[in-house]
Amino acid sequence: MCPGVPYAIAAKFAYPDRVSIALVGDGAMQMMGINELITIAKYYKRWPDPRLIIIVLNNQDLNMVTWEQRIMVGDPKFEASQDVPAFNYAKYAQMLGLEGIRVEKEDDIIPALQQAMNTRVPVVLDVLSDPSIPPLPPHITFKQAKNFYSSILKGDVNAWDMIKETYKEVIENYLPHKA
Amino acid sequence: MAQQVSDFIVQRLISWGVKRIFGYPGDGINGVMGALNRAKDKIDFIQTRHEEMAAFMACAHAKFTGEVGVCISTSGPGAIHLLNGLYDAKMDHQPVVAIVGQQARMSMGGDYQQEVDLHSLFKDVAHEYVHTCTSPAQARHLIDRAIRIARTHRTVTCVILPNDVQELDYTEPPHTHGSVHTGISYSAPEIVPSFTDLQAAADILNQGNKVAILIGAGAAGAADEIIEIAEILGAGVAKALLGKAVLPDDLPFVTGSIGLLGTKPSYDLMMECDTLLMVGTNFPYSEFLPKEGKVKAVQIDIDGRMLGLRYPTDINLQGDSRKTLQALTPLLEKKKDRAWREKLEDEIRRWWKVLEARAMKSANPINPQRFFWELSPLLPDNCILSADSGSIASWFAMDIRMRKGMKASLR
Repeated sequence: MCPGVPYAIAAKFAYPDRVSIALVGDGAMQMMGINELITIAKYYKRWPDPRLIIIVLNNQDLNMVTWEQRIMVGDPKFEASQDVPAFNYAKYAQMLGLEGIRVEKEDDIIPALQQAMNTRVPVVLDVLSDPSIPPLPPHITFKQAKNFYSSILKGDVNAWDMIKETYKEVIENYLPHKA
Repeated sequence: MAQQVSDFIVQRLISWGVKRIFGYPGDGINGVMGALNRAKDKIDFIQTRHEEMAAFMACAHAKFTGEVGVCISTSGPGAIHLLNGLYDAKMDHQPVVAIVGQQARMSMGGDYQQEVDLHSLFKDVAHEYVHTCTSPAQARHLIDRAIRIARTHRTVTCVILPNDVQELDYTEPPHTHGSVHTGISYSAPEIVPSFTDLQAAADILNQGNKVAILIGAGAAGAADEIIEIAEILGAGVAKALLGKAVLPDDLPFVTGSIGLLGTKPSYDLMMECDTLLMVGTNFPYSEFLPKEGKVKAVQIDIDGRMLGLRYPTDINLQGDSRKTLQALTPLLEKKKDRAWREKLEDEIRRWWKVLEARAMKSANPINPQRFFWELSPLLPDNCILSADSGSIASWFAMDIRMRKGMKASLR
C-alpha cells in the first residue's frame, strides 16, 4: 500500500516532460498520499511540463479487503476495520496551491479528465465512486460464491446494493456480446 | 582543507552516475547532508515527507529508468521508516542503495539514544550487502560494492555511516596488507543460454498445438521479439501485472492481465493451452497457471534463482529476455493451424465488449469501471502510470488499454 503517489513523483523527476499519473485509493491517500501532495507542491515548478495527476477513488471503504472479507472468508464487511473517514481530497489539493477537481457524477468524468490533462499545475481528481461494484475474479469458484452468499446472510451493511451490482456484473459475462 | 568522508561518498555517488537522492535529514546523517549541500550543482537531494516515501521513490526511479535508485535517512527511527519501500525494491528486484546514519562509534553498544542495531534491522532486506563504515579508508569500497551488488543482483544494499565517521578526513586505502582497492563502472551483460538448451526449448514450442505466453516486467525491452514469436507460434500473450506496459493491449492476441485481477481470456488461455512459455515473470498465483503436469513449459529469466519456481518447467533458460528470444526465434516453426489463435482473438474481442458493458452499468454515484474506461483513451501516448493497491489495482489491471510508449508500475 502507498507506492502510487511516490512512484508518480519519482517518475516526474526522472521524466519531467512526460505526464505522470497516480491511481490511488482513499485508504492509501489517508495513510501517506496526502502528505506527499505537499512534496508535489514543493517541487512542481521545477518541471517543464508540470502535469502530474493524482486520481483518487474515493469510496470511503478499504474496498478490496472488504471484498476479500466477503469472498475469501464469508464474513460480512467489518465496518470498524473497513470504513474510511470522509475527506475532501480536491479541497486539500487546492489548499496546497494545486488544482483539485471533485468528480461527483458520471457526466463529469470526461470534462474533469480533459481539464486535468490541460492544467499546468498538478491535479488531484477526487472521484466519488461506488464501493458495491465487485472486482470480480475471472473465474468464480464454488467456495467463493458460497462465501459471498454467506456474507449476505450474516448481514452485510451493503447487502442489497451488492446483490444488485454483482448480479449485473455476472450477467454481463454471459450475454452474447458481439465482437 | 582535507576532504571529509561525506564529501568523498557524495563525489563517489556522482562518479557512479547518481544524479538524485531521495530522503529525509536528521542528526545521524547531517555530515552527508552538508556534503550534498556542497555538491548541490551536481547531485539533487529530494526531500520527502517520510523516509518510506523516499525508499518508494528510489525504487520507482530504478523501475522507470533502469538506473540504481538511492535513498538516505538518519539513524534509528529514520532508518526504520525506510524499510517498507526497501522491501518493495527487494521483492520487485530493483537496484536500490540505502545510505543510513548511525550514532557515533564510541556510543555503540551503550544503549545510546536512538541506537538501533541497524545490521540486524537491514539484514533481511539488504542481505546481499549491509556494512558499516568504521574507518575512512573503507568508504570507497563500501560505496562501490553497494552499487555494484545492487546492480548485478538487482537488489537492495545498505551502507551505514556513524555520524562521527561522516566528518572525519577522508584517506585513500593505503597500499598495504589488508586494504581494498575497488573501482567503478558497470554495464549489464547480455546473457544468452546455450544452443543446446535453446534447441530443446524450441522443440517443445514447435510440438505444441495451443501455445500460451506469459510475460512479466522482465520482458520489458523484448516487445518486438514477443510479438514475432506469438505470430510464429499462433500464441496468445497474457501479462502479469508488473509487465502490463511491456505489450500494448491493442494487439489482437494479447489477453491482458492474469490472476485475481485478470481477464477471462487470460484465465482460459492458461486452462486450455498445451504449451507454456514464461518470459521474465515471477507471477505467484499457481491457481491461474495450468495444472501441474498438464502442459510442457519453457521459462526464460535473467535470474537463475527464479527458474522453475512457479511451475515445474521442462526447459529453463537463464538469459536476457530480448537476446534469448532473438536466439530462439530462428529455431521456431510457423504454426500452420491458426484455429487456436483465431479462437483466442474472438474471445479477446468479446471480452472488451464485456468490460465496456460492465463499465456502462449505472452505479451510485460513479461506477469505478466507467471512470477507468473513459480514462484509458484520454491517456497521453507517453504517460507514466503508477497504481496503488486495493480495488483500484483491479480497474487498472482490467480497464486500462496500454499503448506503445507508455510506462506503468505498481507494487
